[in-house]
Amino acid sequence: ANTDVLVGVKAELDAPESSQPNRGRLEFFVDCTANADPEFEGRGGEDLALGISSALSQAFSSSNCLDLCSLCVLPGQQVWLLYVDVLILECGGSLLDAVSLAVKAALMNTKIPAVTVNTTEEGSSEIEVSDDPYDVNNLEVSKVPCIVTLTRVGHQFVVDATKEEQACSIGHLSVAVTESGSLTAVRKTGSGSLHPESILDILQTAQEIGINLNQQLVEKVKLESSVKKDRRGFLT
Amino acid sequence: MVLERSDGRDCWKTRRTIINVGSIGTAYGSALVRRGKTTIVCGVKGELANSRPENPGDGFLVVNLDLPPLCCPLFKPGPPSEQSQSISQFLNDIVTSSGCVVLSDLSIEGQLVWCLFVDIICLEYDGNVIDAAVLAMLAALTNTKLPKITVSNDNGEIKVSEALEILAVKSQPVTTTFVYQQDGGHVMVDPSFEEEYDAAGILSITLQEDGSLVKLYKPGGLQLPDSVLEQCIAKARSLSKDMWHLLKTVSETVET
Amino acid sequence: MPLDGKRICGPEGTKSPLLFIPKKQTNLLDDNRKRTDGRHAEDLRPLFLRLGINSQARGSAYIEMNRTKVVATVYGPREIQRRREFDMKGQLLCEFKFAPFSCKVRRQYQPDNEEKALSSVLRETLEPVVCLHKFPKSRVDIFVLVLENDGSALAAAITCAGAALVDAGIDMYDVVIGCGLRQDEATTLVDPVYEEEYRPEDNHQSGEHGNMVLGFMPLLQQVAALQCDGELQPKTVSAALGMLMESCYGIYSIVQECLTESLKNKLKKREKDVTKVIS
Repeated sequence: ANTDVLVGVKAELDAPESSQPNRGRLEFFVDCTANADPEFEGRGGEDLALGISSALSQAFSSSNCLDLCSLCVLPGQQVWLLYVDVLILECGGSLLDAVSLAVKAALMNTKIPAVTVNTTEEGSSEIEVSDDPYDVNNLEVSKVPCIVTLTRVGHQFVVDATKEEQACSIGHLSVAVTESGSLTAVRKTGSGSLHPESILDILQTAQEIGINLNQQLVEKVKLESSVKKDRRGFLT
Repeated sequence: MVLERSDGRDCWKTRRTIINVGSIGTAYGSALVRRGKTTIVCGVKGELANSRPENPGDGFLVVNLDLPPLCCPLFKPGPPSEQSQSISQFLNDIVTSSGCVVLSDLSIEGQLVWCLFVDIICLEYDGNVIDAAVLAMLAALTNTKLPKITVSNDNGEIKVSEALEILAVKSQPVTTTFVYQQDGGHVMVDPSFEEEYDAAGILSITLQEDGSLVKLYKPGGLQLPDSVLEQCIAKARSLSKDMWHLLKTVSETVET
Repeated sequence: MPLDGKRICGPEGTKSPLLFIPKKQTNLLDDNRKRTDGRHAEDLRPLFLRLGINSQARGSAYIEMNRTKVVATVYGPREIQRRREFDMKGQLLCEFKFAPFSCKVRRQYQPDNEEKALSSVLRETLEPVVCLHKFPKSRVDIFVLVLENDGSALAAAITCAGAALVDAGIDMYDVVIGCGLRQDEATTLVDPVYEEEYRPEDNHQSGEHGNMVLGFMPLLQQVAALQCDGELQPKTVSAALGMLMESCYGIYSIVQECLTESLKNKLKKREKDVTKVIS
């Protein structure tokens, strides 16, 4: 089976968190549709969705990943709030890895309207959004991580596990890697345990794969946006 | 005939009460109360709020009791049970009718007031949480110290100083709870979990040091003859004295 | 924030006074290489662990690391009421909760995303430790309540929940010990307090930095939980892992002592009860 995910990013002007008045906000919302698995109907996919969104927030928690301060419009009053909506259409293994790739690609593609802040004579501020639809800013995404999950099958570890491989495994280690090779998050998931000696190997492998993955993704997205294709259908 | 309760107590005897105050550093005031095995923690947190236009200058005091699933095998995770909702309401009523904290004392300047959140959590449930919760709330409030807040006249900037001010607690309501069997027979004070479970009715009497009755709470249950009610009030009067004495000793030991 | 109709709510838009206190930048280590509380970088806080603090529960434990205070209770195994499919393995239900007054800023009663995420981390930490096949078709409930959070709350919760499971007599492969760590460039601080824990919002550094939490099974030498955030290199994580394991062995010796002590007390009590029955 394939893994299909769809990610959309929406930006809204909103008040900042009172504890961080000059930082924009980033919110992940994951929806496991019943299309992907009949089990997800109703509230069945809630745990999985929560797991994915918390893994994403953890991976993006370092302030260097996505510069949230650049999303601040008026300190303490108005900041950009980015909603990252993830829709799971089909699960065929390595879901978290695929989601993180799609999130990065979507963020690369995100255009935030240019805004100017005018101070009126009375001292209050007005926010003006540019009329020109092409007057937009791109996000700086060079430090946005991709997640690489290594799945333990027997005594071996595999990357990009299929659904069958995942079914045979009880332990996973998910590692978020940036283009420069920093690990922004590591988390053990699943009900198994890992041997401490294997961890350095796993992390180094994950780092290597992650760097490569980031490069390939960037190239692919650039290629995609430069070539005008005769598109048939949205998902193909 | 003298009846002995399952834990060997006399019908009019309460369990041992232990109060420990100020052990939680993240709260402005806190207390731990053990009544027998029933264990309650209470923490007071303060936040800044704007007073309501109908009561300008009045602060807020919000009391909540939580009976989490960790305290007893019968409680399930999820929203609060009816029991904890009704006890929360009971505790808020006691605060309002006893006036132990005067809401206008919580004003800071102009519209700005304190909103005190009194959160009471049960860590072990062995009956009679009401008495323990009232004690914990009172001990925590008596122990509460709030930072001094000043608002500058020029730009309305709020400054929080490191100096702490003691919250004034004006009166000390103490609750004594009884359970009874049919027709007001076998009245027992400070019921354990079992006794509460088997009771035909429950009666909580809240008194203040000057002897005035703050609240009488008898949620449902079978009817109770007024002779028994009077007997209970008289007992509550004498038993509450021990609690006031205990609260006094606690606050004196903290000061020294 | 949806209004909680079943609790008594205060007015809307209350603000913590902490927001009006300017943030102070303090150094993690002073000139004598000592931390704010006087510890050395690799020192643990004194640990106090007590079992059987709740007589209603099947097992319970209370842990105190200076000001960090955590309670855990264990109930069950209970029958699973709604079962999707037959499973020979038992299940764990973990609930991780911060008391409203446990943190600097007041928390709400309804579980927030952080608590939900920590609950699932705790479950995935305890699953490899508990012999799940010993209680098929049933569930063990583990409730953890943080009374005061002065750093390393997850680590304390792991140790505490592990001890509560032992107290409950649930079959386990090993005990589990939690320990946290803060990495700040070349400085590594074991068992960080709240002020030392890594917080992304007041951090804009280029070097390596981050937080790590390890859940470790000391006898089997297995990693039951590993959580990192920040920005780290594999070599640093691995070196920090070594330090954390070392600290976990240190905590283990205290936990072990406490477990044997509690078992001795239990046996003594049982002996007393037996003699009472005979006489």
